[in-house]
Amino acid sequence: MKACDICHAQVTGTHEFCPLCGKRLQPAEPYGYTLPGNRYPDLSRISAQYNFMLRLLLFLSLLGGGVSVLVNVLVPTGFWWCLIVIVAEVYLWLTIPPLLRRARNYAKRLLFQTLLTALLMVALDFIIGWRGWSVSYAIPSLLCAGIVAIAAMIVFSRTNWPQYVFYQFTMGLLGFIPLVLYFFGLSTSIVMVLITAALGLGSVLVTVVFGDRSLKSDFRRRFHF
Amino acid sequence: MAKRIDEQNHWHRLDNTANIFPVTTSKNESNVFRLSMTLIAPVAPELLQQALEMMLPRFPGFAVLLRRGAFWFYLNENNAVPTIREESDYPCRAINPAQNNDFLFRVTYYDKRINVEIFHVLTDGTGGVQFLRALCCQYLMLAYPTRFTEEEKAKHWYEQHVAETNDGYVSNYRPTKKTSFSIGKGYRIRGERLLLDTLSVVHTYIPLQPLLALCRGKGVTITQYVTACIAWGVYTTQLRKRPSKHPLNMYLPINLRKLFGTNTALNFFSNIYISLDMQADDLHFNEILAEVKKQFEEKISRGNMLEKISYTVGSGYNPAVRFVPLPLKNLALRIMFKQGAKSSSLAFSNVGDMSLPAPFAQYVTGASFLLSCVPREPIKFAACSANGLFTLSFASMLRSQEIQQAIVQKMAEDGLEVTIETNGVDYESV
Ligand SMILES: [Zn+2]
Repeated sequence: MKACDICHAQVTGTHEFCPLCGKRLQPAEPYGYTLPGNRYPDLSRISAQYNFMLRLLLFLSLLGGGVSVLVNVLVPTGFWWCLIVIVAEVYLWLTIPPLLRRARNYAKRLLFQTLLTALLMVALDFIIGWRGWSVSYAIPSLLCAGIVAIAAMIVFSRTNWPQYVFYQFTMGLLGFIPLVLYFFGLSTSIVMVLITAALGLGSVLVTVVFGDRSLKSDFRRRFHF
Repeated sequence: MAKRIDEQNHWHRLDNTANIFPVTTSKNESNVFRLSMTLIAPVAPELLQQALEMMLPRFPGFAVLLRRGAFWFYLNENNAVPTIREESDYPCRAINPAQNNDFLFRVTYYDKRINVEIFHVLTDGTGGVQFLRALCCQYLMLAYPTRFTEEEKAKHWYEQHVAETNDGYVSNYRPTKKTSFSIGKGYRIRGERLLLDTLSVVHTYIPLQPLLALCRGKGVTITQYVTACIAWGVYTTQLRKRPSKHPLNMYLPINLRKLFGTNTALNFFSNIYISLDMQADDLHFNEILAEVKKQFEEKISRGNMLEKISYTVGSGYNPAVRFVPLPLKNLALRIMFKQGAKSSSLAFSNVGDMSLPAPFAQYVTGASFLLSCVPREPIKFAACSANGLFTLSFASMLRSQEIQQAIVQKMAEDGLEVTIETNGVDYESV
């Protein structure tokens, strides 16, 4: 056993110098009570490479965005294509990090992803020169795909399906968005509007009728006050 | 795996103090504490995993994940299986639910030690000790199957009952008039920081009996004595040289279970501030100890604690608070917390005895308790005892070990046989 003359304490482990004051330790007669003998992993190298990849990616995307703005300004083509680069990058940054962080609740991710992609489509439509394809075709298609995907999740997931019911219901409600857009004259394709609204109505009804208890209990926990 | 929370209870609310933790938690402020038990032989990972899966159904309060509701956070049952890992990071790092099937605790091992790191949303130190004890008992029965009788093996060592997921704050709530418990700004401990998230850990081992005898001789409790030693350490290394007009405010969590005769598995603690004015340059240890003792006795009373919990619960009942959407509520909480956080200089928590029951105690050599540091409080103090050994642990973000040294010196001066052990981040390495 070793001891420090300044701190008046014994030190376990392989220390040559006192961990508290730095003085060279002296050999000493052990105190005679049992010590736990805790060992710790050597972590001196781990903290250095902290988050490096994420920072590199952020740097590269900022660089890419900056360069495309610069080129777009210096070489005028009458078309702001750099906006597409920026919108795409924002979309990727909003999408990928949460995917890495949150491993579970795929239905929630899907809902979020559908809404985000819808916004991306509107932005692209706007940049290329508004022709309304995003509102008339892209958004209804996305919502239909979302409704079908969550339904598939419920059918194929044996353990987690009760928590997906709430999202099926919410996605079903979103299926009426194209109908609203149609009434405001933004959407032009009545066929797409009707298909989406039908699917939406279907999933709302099915979840209310068959998922009655789990939907109610989900509402109760989400809206408890 | 069997269902852990019955049909009626797929979820429960956060207890009344837990509401603050999801809001204030970040990478720098993890709100995670660590309880460890050191055994006589290296831990067998596959048995530890098996033990965890066997005992988790008995702790429904731990088998949960955190969700956001429209008005409040809530804990939903989690049917996944948590996995154990070998310790490969500094203690008390923030819990990232995605890395562990959404669980809010983490079980790791290293050599002979089993660690449970718990996000404070789940429970407090006392609740955590029960979980660690259950895990260790289960592990030991698997590791030494021939050394326990059938009767011992069949018994459920420690468990949570559904009733124990009742919120102790709510059941002890009495309407009150007092509206604020804020105290002024406290002294802020200074010093050069360690790099990035490096954390220095120093364990101080002291035999319990001589420590008890010393405290009895001085007419104080162990917690009061150690609190005074900590104050002494900060005073001699910092405040005596650079006096501050701000008092040294020591935050001490107080376990309310005994005081209120409930045994909840959720958080059930309140706190007191031991506030010492240290502007004089000739304070003696005994003066500090006397003041600490006086404040302890004044502040820890059932009535006092009742007022505090009633204030917290009462504000949650306030309709102006209840129906505010969660994001706004969080914003307000964050601002209030930032204000309140300035009053604390340091924190010290003594979780008490962590010993395992008789058939298991012989396989344990010691226990330890660690709190996570925050930039505002760069050094934190935590204590526990097991098998007749008292362990005071320092977790610090500071490069200098002067405060730890002063405390150790003081205790050794009082005749205690102190042994120290570190995690390797100390004077030698930095
Ligand atoms: Zn020393």
